[in-house]
Amino acid sequence: MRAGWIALVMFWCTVAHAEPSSNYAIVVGSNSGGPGQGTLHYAEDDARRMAAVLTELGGYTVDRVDVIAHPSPDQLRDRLAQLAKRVQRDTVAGKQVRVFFYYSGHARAQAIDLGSAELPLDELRERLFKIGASLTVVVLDACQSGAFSRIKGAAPAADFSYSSRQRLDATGVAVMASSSGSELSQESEQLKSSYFTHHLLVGLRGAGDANNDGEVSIDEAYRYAYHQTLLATAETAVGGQHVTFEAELRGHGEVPLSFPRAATAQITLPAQLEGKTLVEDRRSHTVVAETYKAKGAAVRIAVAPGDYEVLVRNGDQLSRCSMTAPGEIDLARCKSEALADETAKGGELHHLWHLEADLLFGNERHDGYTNNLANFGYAEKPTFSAGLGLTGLRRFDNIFSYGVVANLKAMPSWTHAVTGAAASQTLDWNETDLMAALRVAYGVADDGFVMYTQLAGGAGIGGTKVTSADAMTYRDHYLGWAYAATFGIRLQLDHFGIGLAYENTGSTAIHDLIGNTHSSGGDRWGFTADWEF
Amino acid sequence: MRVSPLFIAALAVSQMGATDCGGNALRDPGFDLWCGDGLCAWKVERGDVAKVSTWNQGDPGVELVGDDVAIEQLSPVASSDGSCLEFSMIANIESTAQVTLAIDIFGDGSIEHSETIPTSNWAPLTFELPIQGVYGGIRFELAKVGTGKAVLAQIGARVVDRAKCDHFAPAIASNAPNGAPCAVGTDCASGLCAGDGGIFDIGTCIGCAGDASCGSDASCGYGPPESPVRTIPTECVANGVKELGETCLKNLECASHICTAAGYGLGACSSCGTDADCASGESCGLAWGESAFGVIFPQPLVCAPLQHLGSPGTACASNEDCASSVCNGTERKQCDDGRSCATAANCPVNSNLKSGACTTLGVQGGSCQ
Repeated sequence: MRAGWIALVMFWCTVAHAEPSSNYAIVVGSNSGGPGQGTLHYAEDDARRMAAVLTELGGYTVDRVDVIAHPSPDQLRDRLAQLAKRVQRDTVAGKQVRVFFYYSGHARAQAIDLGSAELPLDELRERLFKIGASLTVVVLDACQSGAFSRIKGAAPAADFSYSSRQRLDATGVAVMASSSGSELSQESEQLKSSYFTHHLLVGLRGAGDANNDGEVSIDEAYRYAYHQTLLATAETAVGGQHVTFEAELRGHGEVPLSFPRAATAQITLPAQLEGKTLVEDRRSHTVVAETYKAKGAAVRIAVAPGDYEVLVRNGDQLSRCSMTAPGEIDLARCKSEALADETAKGGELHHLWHLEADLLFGNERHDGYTNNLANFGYAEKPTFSAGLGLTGLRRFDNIFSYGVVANLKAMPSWTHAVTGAAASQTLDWNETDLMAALRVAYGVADDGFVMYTQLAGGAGIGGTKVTSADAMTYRDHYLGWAYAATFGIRLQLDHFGIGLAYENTGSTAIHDLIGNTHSSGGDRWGFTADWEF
Repeated sequence: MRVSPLFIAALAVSQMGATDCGGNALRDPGFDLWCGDGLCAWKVERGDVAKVSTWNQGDPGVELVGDDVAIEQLSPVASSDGSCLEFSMIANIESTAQVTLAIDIFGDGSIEHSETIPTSNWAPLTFELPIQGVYGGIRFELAKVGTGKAVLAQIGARVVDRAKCDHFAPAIASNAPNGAPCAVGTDCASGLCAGDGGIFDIGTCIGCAGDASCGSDASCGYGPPESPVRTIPTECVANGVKELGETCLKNLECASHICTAAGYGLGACSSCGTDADCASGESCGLAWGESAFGVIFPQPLVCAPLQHLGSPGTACASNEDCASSVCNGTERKQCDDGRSCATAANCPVNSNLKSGACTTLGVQGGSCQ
């Protein structure tokens, strides 16, 4: 089975060489998914970044890079038809035409999903081949979202790369797939991109220039993307993602995809630099490159002119370097920093902290204490017992969290009318609990639904206020043990989530003067809202 | 022997079905109402009481302090409310103390039933007591003897369905005093039940059936009220013993020989019956006028009331009747139903089991200074 990012079809038409050449690109991104598919976060951004690299480094002019965000199938068909006309005109004019097609979004087994509609893969192939370009590079990116690391292509697709190859053999084929058939492809919250596209772009910017000739060939781009994607995804919940590449090129040598040497600005990583290197655009706060730089040879990364922040991690050492492109990092001016706690954990914990507010309702528990109230002539007001809970959790890992819970419970009042007087006696009471909590959470669907169970134990402070028949008030406070067992389901939309919860609580704090103890709480149901960061 | 004066029935109505809407026969069954160091709704007969905490310091109970202590409350509960009483009690009584609940039907001092409250540690106790016969008013007495501590938190007395009492021996209502309800003459100590079989199918015990039974020096009129849970009794009253302002039924009862509404119902001894009884130019009118709630009933008639015209020695019912503005006599205090009273405790309770008002209206047996 092939899933997810299905990257690429590369198609050479062995048309006789003609000069000059003409480059066109259609770059498509679609975050929205079809029925049962979650919304992607970075597919459209990836498309824009791909378009930027093509214009900066790939030899494409801006007017010939058609960036299309969340199109319908008909819109895409129309744009492909328009491109076909332009290619035919250039071909008639004797130009060698090169077409680059990129798509990032959802896909199912036999089609890419453009919102709620589909465009069959067979049709897409046919339309691309009929364009008649000398060289056609197609990158398809099919994806779905997951709970922790958004998963692309969660609905396993057919082996697109293989079938494509069979269809294209007659004219010469180059096939590169983003992942093997049984794998899912992923987005990264940290990179704010899909793993594959991010590393492919970094490779095209120069990190993939293995022979240091100033050009990144399709082979070099593949090798770089393969290794970096596999390294980056090896520790995620989904697991390692293997990029595949198959090419059959006739009459051509290496095929350059980008020309970092010709870029107006480059960041040069000096020969002595070693470690995992991350380059961040200080203006947009986006990661433009993330690579492992080996010691021994300089590496140049093509970027737009501007200010950058470069982080280099080598073992437990972290260096931060500020620089302006074009330029070379001056290691002597880099500052050493302590590793943040999160980096020591590894993995892909999207959100380390979880804050939650609960509003729960239910009947207050009846026990010896309340039975005694009834014996003394008191009656419970027919209202719900309401609870407000605040929970703060820190993740151990993707399943376990620990933290604290504060619960405030307001129990229904009990009143006792005094016969023969316009007076009554009233018991108002509440409970405040502070508890340590352990939560186990697990995703139940790919759309962000999370089920969880939580146990909490700690101390409870109970408060009673008895208003006597002569309107005097008597307040008491009690200290005891408290517990809460919670089950819930929530829909987590990145940082924000809402859900439903059931809770059974108890506290042994409140007692009366004749030996009855009340276990405050009971069964409660209600709503939750949370914020993760 | 039966007599059936309709006016007596009207008085009896005021005593029917006097428990609160929840069926509770006692006011403040939880000992929650305290007036200073004493209970507001309970009367201490013997010994002393103290306010103590029960399950919470904000919900007090009563401790019976001493070796011989008794508290009581007169309830208006009547047979028209029901004939099965359910008692629910919560108390903490040490083994060296004995607490009993005594039932005094009619509140005439004779104990018809006594129940010992078992030693308990705030454990709720419930028992039922049927009452046989027509009754009106019960005095409940809680008494403690012994050195041990006894704290009472609740003593509820509710009228419940008769079937709950089927298997218990009843307390028997008998020898009802005058003014108490009755069905037949044998219910009454006097052997006379007036008004039975009437529109309310309930009568009232009376002490006389007519003037003839009272001899030549007395008439069958209104005697002094004995209990707030009973109507003003009908009995033989010596002729001419009632002063101006006192409640009367007949002219013969009054020293002035003038009783307003004589022969028709509750009246008041007056100094005049018509203008002809007054000096020229003076009118015979209501002595006390109207209160904020309307005409006061009953009230005496006097000449030139409230006009400050009375010369010394003239009969008066208020200081405003006299030229000197001083009417010498006894302060007249009266319940809403017209009976004389000293305090509110002498007046019938309202539907909330609270005693009616005892209001000072004027002067009884007065003459201008």
